[in-house]
Amino acid sequence: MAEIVRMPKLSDTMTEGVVATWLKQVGDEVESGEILAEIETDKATMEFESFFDGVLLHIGVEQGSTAPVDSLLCILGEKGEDISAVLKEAESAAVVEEASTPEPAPAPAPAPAPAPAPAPAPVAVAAPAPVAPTAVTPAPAPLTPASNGRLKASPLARKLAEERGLNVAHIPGSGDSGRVVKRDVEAFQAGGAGMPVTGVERFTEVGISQMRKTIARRLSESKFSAPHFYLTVSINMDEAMATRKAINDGGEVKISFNDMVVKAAALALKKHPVVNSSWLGDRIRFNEHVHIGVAVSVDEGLLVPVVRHADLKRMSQIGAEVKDFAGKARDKKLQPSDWEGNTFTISNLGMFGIDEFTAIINAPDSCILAVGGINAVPVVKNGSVVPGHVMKVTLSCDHRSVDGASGAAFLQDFRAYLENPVRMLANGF
Amino acid sequence: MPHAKEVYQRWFRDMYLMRKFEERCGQLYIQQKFGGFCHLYIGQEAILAGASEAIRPTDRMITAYRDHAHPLVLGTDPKYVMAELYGRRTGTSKGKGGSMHMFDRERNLFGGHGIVGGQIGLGAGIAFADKYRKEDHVTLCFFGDGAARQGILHETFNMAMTWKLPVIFIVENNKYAMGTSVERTSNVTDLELLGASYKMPSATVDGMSPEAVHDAIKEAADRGRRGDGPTLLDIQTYRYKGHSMSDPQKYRTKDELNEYQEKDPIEYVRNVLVSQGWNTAEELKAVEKEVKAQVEEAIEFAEQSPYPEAQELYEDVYMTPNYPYVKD
Repeated sequence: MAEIVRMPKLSDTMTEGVVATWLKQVGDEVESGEILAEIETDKATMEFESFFDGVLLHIGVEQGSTAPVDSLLCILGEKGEDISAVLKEAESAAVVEEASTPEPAPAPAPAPAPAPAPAPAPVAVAAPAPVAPTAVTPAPAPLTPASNGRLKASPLARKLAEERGLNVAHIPGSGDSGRVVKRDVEAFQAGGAGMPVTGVERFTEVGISQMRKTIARRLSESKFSAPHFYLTVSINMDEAMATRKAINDGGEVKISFNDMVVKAAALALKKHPVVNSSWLGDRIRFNEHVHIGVAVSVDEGLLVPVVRHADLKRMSQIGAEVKDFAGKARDKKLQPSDWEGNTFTISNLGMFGIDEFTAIINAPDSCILAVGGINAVPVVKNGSVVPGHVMKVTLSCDHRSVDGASGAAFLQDFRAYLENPVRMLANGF
Repeated sequence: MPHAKEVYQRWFRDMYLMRKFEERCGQLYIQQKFGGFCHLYIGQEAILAGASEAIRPTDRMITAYRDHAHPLVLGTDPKYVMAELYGRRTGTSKGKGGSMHMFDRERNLFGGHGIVGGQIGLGAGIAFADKYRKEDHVTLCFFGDGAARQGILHETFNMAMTWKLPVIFIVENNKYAMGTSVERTSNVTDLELLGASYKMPSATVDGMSPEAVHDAIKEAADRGRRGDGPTLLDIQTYRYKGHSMSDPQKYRTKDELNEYQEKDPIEYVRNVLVSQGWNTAEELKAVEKEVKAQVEEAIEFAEQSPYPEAQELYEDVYMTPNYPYVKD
């Protein structure tokens, strides 16, 4: 008989838990008392022992995912046992739970890019929406005696103030509970006896959304485990501008610079599988297909929908897809399948007037391209300074899988495509 | 062997009951069958096994909040203990105490107590009452190595020695005050020495051995009954589980735990029974099966028991009937 193991309540205040590590995998034999998983509670990461003997048949909460207490964690049973009935039952229970959740949790999105595909029964209900902002205003240091009429000042401060002809009651205190001490008297006088400037310290604290949590976790993982190095190149965009104008003036299709950047990157990636790769710990995967993640900013963070086979698509197709993704991202209609499978990522802040920047690699990619704006600058052409248009891009590379020369070779081709866009023609605009 | 076959057989059954009962408590707790706090006795069973063999049924016991096993060894039906954990009316404290407040008036268990070290003074008070009434009972007052650092210990020790109270102060020294090791708590790591200022007879005892615990408590109980006053016993034990349910136990190593598990008192007694030819391994398996069934019955009993009525909040609070400050 299959046994459902639910997310345990490992502390008195625990409402949800994160599976930090699965110590057993589907198919493993588990004995009662053996540690199934490490569960992160609101307090600590705890080992969770199995109560049952059996074979681990199903995992309901993937490693790294959060689930409320009592949701289906895993199922143990006989080897080869049919658990579809048990799963179905558990699922319908979860649906009821979800239906009663007040807000239809906004895309429980593993933000920039996906966690591995969740198992069929997504019982992990998104955590409640972050709490409303709360403004906290600490009491300002009293300028005048405390309300009970007692003036807080050290004997030395009183004496100093008297000697200098100051009224100690007018001096703001920096000691305990606003007590006036020697340094306050000295500072008051140095400040020219006028009324000191007083400001009120304020701040707002907001709970962390699931999306922010995912962004925080994934980007920290990337930045702190992938040794990043950066290659910046300036690209003369005069030809690209002329080409774009010609295409758009033709009136049949409209393309943006971003479309040209995506297309040029896709074609260059096709020639440089090293840059189009993933570090997988014990091996490196060189992708032969080109799936480009395009960072899209939304209110609470960012998402990275993926333009699949970008090298085979026309620029106008790329443009239409990105536009569609951006709309869906804002309306929270992106599906996990939309942000999975990237082999390379582009983050473009050119439209925000950024000259150049460095981006954090979006795992599992080896590289990310940070694209700045196109600026009118003096350029040297045939020995003389002439007006030109330059765009700077920076490639962040994971040095575990990509070396400087490989990254540079990719950038050379990328630049060549943009500086001479007609070369992209063979693959169609 | 120093004890008869029947003693080892009882020890086996009792310790196995304490172990299984607590294992199930841990599981039920994380499945939210009951809430509040939950401190498990797993690993420390030899202390209660040895102690229960050394005292009379009329002697008294008082302990802290790691108290599920004390009623079990005194013979309280596990179902009432489980019902208390479930907060049901049939529980040892009518469902109003929970995990930390197990009492059994009939068996002279004066409770589990939640205030760290609070029961040290209460234990001496019970002994004082017996002495005052010229009864020859002895009080076993249990507390942990953390509570041993509370100020109340010193005031109580002083009075207990001054009045020669029939009380045995038993430190269930499981090495950690929550997560703080004895070594980190004080420069005096030998807890037996805490009695020295009051010239209280004291000893350090191997808490993984029911026989050693029995001998030490027997001697102390005789001393108390003779009118020679209190004894301090530093009983060295180890809890296999965390301090409470939410303890990730990062302060100790798995090796340290394994070291103590190799001296497990249940396995020790099992070996004695089998090697002496008193029981076969199969017979002991049958005992285990019986005990497991008993624990499952206790759970079923608890789950089927009713919760206390709201009105019961006012009951058992004051000794005086119609206490003037209590309004309906």
